[in-house]
Amino acid sequence: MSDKPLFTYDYYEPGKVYGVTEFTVDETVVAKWRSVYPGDNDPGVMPAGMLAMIIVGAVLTCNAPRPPGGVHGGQTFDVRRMPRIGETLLTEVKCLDKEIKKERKWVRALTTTRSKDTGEIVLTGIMTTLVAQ
Amino acid sequence: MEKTLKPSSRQVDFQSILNYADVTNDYNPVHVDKEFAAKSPMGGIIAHGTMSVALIWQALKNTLGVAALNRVHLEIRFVRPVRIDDTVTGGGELQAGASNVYDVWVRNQKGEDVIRGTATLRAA
Repeated sequence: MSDKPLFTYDYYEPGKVYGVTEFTVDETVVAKWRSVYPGDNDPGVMPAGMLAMIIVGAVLTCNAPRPPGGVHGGQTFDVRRMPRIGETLLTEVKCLDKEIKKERKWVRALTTTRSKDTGEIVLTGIMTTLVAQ
Repeated sequence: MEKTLKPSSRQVDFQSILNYADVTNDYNPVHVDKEFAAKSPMGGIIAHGTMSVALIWQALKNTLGVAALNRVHLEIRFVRPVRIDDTVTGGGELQAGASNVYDVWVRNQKGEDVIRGTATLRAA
């Protein structure tokens, strides 16, 4: 068992940064993606569906451990430019806000993804999650 | 701008959900553990929401070209779960009176929206 605190609703602090993850858009991971989506085969281009993978992967890594069974309720993607195959990205995860609506506990995470080489922002996102009770 | 996005579809079976979990490293038990999911408020396995979002990206790319993806602001809500053996289709229509905003959606085989949202294209 992990000694780290569990990311329950009460544990999230709006404004707090929970970490930064690194993700390299290498040919191996793109090939895995294409095994699920064979149509996403534009040469040299990262499939846009993988943007969600970058954001969700960063949130799941930085906000762990979590109670099992949370549900993804909504997502915003603001693409400044599509990541390139071969590029390494750094994604910061921050708690944007949280609220209880009709006894459901919602948390929004703001993600900012930058090129590791240049620091240029390539993507921001807001992931809305219904936190498991 | 095209008035209608070219739709993109896929069938979702349990194996494809497991494959998606493997690619994305998202093994939330509501997606991969039938026993857990059955006892959860979802009442059974649901596909990852982002598995269907990929269909909206495909519809945008297939209609507007890959370069257009560099200037998209996409905002979506997951409004209904996708279940094993559903067939889902992503598409959209240019909003009435708008030149750069599409109402986008993913629908199941019953014609029910599972995702709703908007895709806004910034000027090139």
